[in-house]
Amino acid sequence: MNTLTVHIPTLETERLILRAPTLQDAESFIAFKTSERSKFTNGPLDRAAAQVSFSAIAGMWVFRGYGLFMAALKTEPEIAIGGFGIFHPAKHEEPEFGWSLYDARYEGKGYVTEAMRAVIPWAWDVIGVDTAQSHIDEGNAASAAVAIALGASLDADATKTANAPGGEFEDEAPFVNIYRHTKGALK
Amino acid sequence: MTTTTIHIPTLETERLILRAHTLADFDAIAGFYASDRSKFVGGPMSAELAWRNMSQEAGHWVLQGFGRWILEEKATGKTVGMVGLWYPAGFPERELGYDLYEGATGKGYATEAATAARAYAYDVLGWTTVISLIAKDNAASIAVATRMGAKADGTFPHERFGETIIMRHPSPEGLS
Repeated sequence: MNTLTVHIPTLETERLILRAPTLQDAESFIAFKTSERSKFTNGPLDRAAAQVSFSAIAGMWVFRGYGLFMAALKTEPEIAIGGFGIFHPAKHEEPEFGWSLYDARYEGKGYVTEAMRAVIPWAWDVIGVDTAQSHIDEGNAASAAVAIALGASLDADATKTANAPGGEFEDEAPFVNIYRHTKGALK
Repeated sequence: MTTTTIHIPTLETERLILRAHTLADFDAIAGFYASDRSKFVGGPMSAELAWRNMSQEAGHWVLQGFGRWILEEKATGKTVGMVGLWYPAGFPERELGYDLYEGATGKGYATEAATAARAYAYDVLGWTTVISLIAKDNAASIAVATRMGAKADGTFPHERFGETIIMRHPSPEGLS
């Protein structure tokens, strides 16, 4: 009998474990997705929609063989502090390197860049993506700073096209900036 | 390095293949959710929400180790529905659910696939009971459950589907 087998690796950094999403992680995600903190990532949503979104995130691993990891501190392995990985819904041509820190109390400690420094080499070298963007809403200065710190740069042409009529972000407000990652650019 | 491994088995019936979702199924699923046929399961809805729903179904396998399968018609290779086992947030207990897409009804496909899915629940997963949660006005779906031996066992107010009937299937012993 045929079986589809999906492997979700665990990545490790100095302070973090990046692992497959579990049912227990849903509450951290829902708290984020129902709060103002998610305003730059299509939120806030109501609780039921957030619940569906969490399961949908897990589903990307089935379709693509890659997706978002849940990150937890090594000292608190049961608590998901954010989602980090490759986000690639059907409507997007290119994979996206994405990050969300779920709870403000984990801000300012360098966890996002630490997680992405593990994710990005895995994406290029293990998964073998050959192109990647990050989509960052206008006004999300913290995320733009992360993109720059990771060696990405604003792709003005792609940003213009994607926000124009017929582009993939034409219906989205605010304006979505596209940062481009290139292999070898991670600093 | 540790790895989490998820297996999504393929089941086969006389006329259908029950298999994992792929990106290529999206058009059929979006078509179903755009149509009036989805009115008993939260639709009609936009392609954006249909994508979220399809991803949710795949994610259910990752999070819970079981889920629903895509129904592929052997004779044509077409994606004709989604049937299987799931327990999303907001459900009273684990459920056997089935959706058939345009043009696939009236052939006994729901019964054929749901019977295979129920056997998987009992024989492989070791479940001892399963329900089908059905919108009270969805006569066609209630008829499928009844044909499979399920009996009404109360009602449940579902957040998105409205008032539903709990149709409880025969236990493994009841089927043997």
